[in-house]
Amino acid sequence: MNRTAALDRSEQSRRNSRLPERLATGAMGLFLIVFALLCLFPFWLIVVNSFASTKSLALNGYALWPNEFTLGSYRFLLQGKQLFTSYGITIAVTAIGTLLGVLVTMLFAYVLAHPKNRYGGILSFMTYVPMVFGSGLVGFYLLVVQWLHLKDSLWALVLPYVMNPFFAFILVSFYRSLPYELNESAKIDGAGEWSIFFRIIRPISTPVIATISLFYALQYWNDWWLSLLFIDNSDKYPLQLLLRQLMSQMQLSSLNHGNVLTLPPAEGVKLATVCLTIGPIIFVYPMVQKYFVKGLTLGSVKG
Amino acid sequence: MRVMKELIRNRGLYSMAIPGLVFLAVFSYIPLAGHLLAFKNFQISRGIWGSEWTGLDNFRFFFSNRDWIQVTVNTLYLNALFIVFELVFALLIALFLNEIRLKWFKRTVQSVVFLPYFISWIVVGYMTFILFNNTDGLINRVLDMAGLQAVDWYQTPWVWPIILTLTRMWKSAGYFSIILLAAIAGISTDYYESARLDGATRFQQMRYITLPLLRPQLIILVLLGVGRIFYGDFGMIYGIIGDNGILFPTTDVIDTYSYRALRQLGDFSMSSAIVFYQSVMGLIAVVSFNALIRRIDKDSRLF
Amino acid sequence: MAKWKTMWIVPAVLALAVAAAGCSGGDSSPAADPGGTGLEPVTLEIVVPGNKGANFDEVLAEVNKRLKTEMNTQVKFTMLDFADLNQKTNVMLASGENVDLVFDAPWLHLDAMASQGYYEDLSELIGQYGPNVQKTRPDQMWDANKINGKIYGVPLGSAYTQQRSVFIRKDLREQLKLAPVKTYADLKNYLYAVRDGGSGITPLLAGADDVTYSWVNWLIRDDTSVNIRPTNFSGASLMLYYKGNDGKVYNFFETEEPAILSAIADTRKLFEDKVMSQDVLTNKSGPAEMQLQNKVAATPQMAFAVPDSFNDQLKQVASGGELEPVRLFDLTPGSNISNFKMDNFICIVKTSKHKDRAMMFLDWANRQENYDLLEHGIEGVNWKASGEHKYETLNNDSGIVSFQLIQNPVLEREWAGSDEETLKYNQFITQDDNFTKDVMTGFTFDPTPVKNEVAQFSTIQAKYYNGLFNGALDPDDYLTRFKAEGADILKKIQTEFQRQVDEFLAKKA
Repeated sequence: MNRTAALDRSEQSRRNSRLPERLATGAMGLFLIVFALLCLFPFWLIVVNSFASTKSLALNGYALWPNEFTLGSYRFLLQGKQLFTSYGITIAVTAIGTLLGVLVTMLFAYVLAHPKNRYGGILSFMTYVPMVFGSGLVGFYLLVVQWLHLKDSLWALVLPYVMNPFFAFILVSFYRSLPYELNESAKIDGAGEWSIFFRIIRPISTPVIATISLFYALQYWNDWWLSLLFIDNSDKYPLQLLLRQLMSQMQLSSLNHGNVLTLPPAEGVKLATVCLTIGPIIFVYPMVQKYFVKGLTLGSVKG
Repeated sequence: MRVMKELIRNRGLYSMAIPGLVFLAVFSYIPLAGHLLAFKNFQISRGIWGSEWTGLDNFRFFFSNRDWIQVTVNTLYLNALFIVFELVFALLIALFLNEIRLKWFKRTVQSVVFLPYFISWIVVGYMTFILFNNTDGLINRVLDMAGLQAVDWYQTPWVWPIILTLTRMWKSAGYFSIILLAAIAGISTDYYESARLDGATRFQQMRYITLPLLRPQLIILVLLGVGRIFYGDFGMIYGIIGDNGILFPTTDVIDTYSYRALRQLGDFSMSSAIVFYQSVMGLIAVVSFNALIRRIDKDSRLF
Repeated sequence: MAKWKTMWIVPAVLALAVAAAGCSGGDSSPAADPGGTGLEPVTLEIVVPGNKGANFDEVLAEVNKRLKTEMNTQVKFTMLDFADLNQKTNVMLASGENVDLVFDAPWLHLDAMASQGYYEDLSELIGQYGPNVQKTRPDQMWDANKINGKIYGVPLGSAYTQQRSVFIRKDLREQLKLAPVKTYADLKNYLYAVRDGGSGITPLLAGADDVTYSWVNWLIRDDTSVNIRPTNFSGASLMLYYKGNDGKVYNFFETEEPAILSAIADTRKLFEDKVMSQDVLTNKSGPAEMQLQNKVAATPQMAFAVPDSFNDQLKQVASGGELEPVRLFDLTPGSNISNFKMDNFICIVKTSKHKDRAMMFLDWANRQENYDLLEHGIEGVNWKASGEHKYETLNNDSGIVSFQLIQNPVLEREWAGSDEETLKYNQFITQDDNFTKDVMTGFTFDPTPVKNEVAQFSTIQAKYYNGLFNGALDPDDYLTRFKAEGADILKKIQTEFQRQVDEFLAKKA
C-alpha cells in the first residue's frame, strides 16, 4: 500500500467521523480513564506504602505519599540469597511450563476444533469433565509422590498444569472462527496436518496464542499450591512459597514463648511482598501486547 | 474397527492430540479416583481402595440441615452475578479500547486495567476493610463529611453481593478483556474495510461486525463459567467476608460452608462428598446449557 | 520434511515426563563409623512445624557432628508452616512417605492418627533406649498423655496450663492517673477511662478469629470460682463445658450457666459502650498487630510478660508507649484444675525403618547439653548459661526446635531477663502439685459417632458464637436464634460425649 492511498483513506475516515461519533469516542475514553484510575489507585498505595516506615503506616494508614520512607521492608525480605534462588526457580518453572503448556494445548485444541475430527464432541466432553470435577487431594498426591516420584522435583511444579482445559477451550473458540478453506487449499498442495498447523494456523493465531502464553505464564508464576504439596527442600522453594513462609514466620515469631523475639510483622513487609511477587511478571504483559496488532490476520496470509 | 480405520486415516491430525491426552489422562483422570472417597469411610491406613463403603453417609451432614439450600442458592446467584457482570464489563472495556486510536493511551490503559488481577484476595479483603470498617472506614468518613448517617457495612448483609460483584468486575476486567481483545485482533480487516466503503459508522461497525464475531468467545466463556457455577470462590469470599457470621445469609457459599463444617474434623470423606455434589451439579448445569447453545448456535457449542 | 520436523514433539514430551519421573533418587550416606559406635549409619527424617531461624545451618551442623561421633546418625529436618501443617502431614503419612519422627498434637490430628495405627506405641522403645526421655517428664505427665492406655507420642511442654494475660498500655494508664490494674474491675475502669480520655485509641480488642481469644472465654478461663473449662468438642467453644470436677458434660443451652451468661451480658455492654472495638468481628489484623500500631489499648495475649520487642516496636510508633501485662491468673495452689494434657507431641512413624535409632536420638536430645544446643543454639555464640538454670541470649536468634521436639519441665531454662513477678507465674505453672487433678485426665473424646452433628454444629456456631462472645451480637435476640437452630444437634453431641465420659470413668474406677 503506498503513501497516497493511506492518506486518502485517513482523509476519508476523517470526513466520515461525524460529531456525535467523536463525542462517543470521547465518552469511551473518559470511561476508560476513570476505570484505569480505579485500578491504578490501590496499586499505587501498595507500591508507595511498601516503602513507608512502620511509624508512618501506623499513624496514617495507607497514605498517598507517606511522610517517612524506609527500605526496611525490602531489606527484611531480601536478606540472604534464598530470594534470588527462588526467583530463579520460579522463572525456570514459568518458562518451561509456559513453553510446554502452550505447545501441548495449542495442538490439542486444534484437534478439538478441527472439522474433520469425528470425535470432537466426545473429546471436548472428556476435556471438560476434569474442569468440573477437579481432582481429589489424596489421589493427586499419591499420583505425584508415589507413582511418578516427583517429590522435591521441579517437574512436580510443571507437569500437573501443562494441560489446562480452560485455555484449550479458549483456543478452540478461535480455531473455530478460522475459515476451513485455508486447510483445504494447503491440503491440495500436499501438506500434512502438522505442517498445515505450523505453517498456516499458528501464524494467523498469534494474538490468541500470545494470550494463552500470558495466561500460562501467570498460572505458573502465581502458583504456590503445587510447591506447598511437593517441595519440602527449602533450597527449592519457588518465590510464592518462600514469601508465604516469610510472612508467617513474622507472625509466628510474635507468638513464640520466651523473650527472644524478632520484631513482629510490619505492615510494610506485607506490601513489599506483594510488590516483589508482582515485580517481574508485570512486564510480561506489555511484551505480549505487541502481538495483538492487526495485520497478522487472514488477509496477509492470503496475499 | 471403524474407529481404528478413521484414526489411521487421519493419523496426522489425531497424533497432535496425543501429548494433551497423556497429560489429561495422567494428571486429571487418574486422580478422579479420589472421588470414591465420597462414598467411603476413608481411613488413611487402609488407603482409598481399602476403606469401607458407606453409601451416602458422608452426604448426611450437609443435606440433613436446611442450610444447604441457602448456601447452594447463594453460590448460584453470586456466580451468576459474577459471570454476567464480569463478561459484560470486560466486553465494554475491550470494545472501548478497540475504538481508541491513540496507541500509547490504548496500551497504557490496557496494562493498567490488568493490574488488579495481581492483587491477592487477602490484600483485596484488607482494602475493603479499609473502605468499609466501622472505626475509621473511608466511606463512613466521607458520609460523615457529607452530613449523612454512617452505615454499619459489616452488619448489613444485603449490600455485600453488590460489593463482591463490583470487586470481581474490578479484578477480572483486565483478564477477560485480553481474551476479547485478542479475538478482535483476529478479526479480518477485510470486514471493516468493506463496511467502511459501504459508509458504515464506527458504531455500526462495532454493532454489526465486532460484536457478532465475538459471540463464540463470549459463549465459550459463559459455558466455562457455568461448569463451575456450583463452586464458590473460596479465596475471595473468605478473604473479604472471613468469619463474620452476620453476613453469612447473603454471602456464605458451599465452599466456605463446608470449610467451616469440617475444619475441626478434617474428614477427607465428608469434604469429598461436598465436592462430588458440586461436580455432579456442575456437570448437569453445563450439559443442559450446552444443549441449549447447540440449538441456538451450533458452532459455539462446547461439545 | 515438515512433518518429520514436528513429529519429535510427542516423544520429546513423553521423554520429559519419564525423565522427570526418574530423577528423584535419594542420597545415600557414607558407611563410615567415626565414633566407633558399632552402629550402622542412619539418616533420620524429622518433620516438625516451624521455620528455619538465622542460625539453623550452623546449629544443625553441630548437631550432626555430635550425632555422627556419638551414634553414627544424621538428622534431616523438614520444617512445615503452621498453616499447612494439618493437610501436609496428613497426606505425607497417608502416602507412606519415608519419615521417622513426626510432630503431632491433640489440636492437630494426634488422636485420629494414633487410633488408625500410624504411630508406634513407644512404651517398649522408651524402656529400651529412652531413659532420659523418661526421667525428664514426671510420671503424672506420662499417665495423663496416654491415648487408649498407650503412649503414641512423647509429650512436649513444660507447663500445665497456658501463660496468659491482658496486655495494656502502661503509659496511658499513668497519664490517666490510674493505679496498677489488679482485678477485672480495675481493668474495666481502665478501659472506660481510655475511652473517655480522648486519645482516639480503641480501648479493647479481643480475637474473634480464634474462639480461645474471644472475650467471654478469656474471662471465664481465669474465674477459679466456677472452674469452667471447654470440652474441646469444637475448639475451645464453651457450648459444652466441664464445671468443677464432677465428670459431667454441661450444655450451655440447657444450663444457661449464670457465669457465662453474665460474662456475655458484660461483654455486650462493653461493645455497646464502644469500649470493645466495633470491628471485632471483621478486623483483618490481629490484636497484637493493632496494639503495636497504637490503635488499641488492651488485648488478650498468651504470655505472662510483654516481650521486649513489642515495646521496641510500639515506641517507634508512639513515643513513650509501653505495655504491661494484667495477669488475672489465680496463684492459689490447687484452685486451678489441670488435666496435665500437653499441647504437643513427637511421634515415631509406624513405617519407619529406624524406630530404635529415632528413640536413641530423642534420648540424646533430652540431655541437657544437647537440649540446650537444639533450643538455644551454640553456647557462647548464641547464648550463655546464667544463674540458676537460666539463659541469656547473645544474639537475637535461637536454635532449631523446642516445643516441636524436646520441650520438658526438667531441662527447660528460664530467660535471665524475666522479672521477679513473671518468674513467680512461670514457675507456678510448671509445678504439677499447684494444680488440682482433673477427673477427666487421660480422657479423649472420639467424635466419629457424631461427626455429622459436629460438622453441622460447627456451621451453626460459626454464625453466632464469635458475635455473642465478643459483644457484637445482642444476646436477647441472637442467643435465642442460636438455640433454636443448634439446641437439638448440641444435645445429641452432649449425650454421646457424656456416654464416652461415663465409660471412661467407669473403667478408671
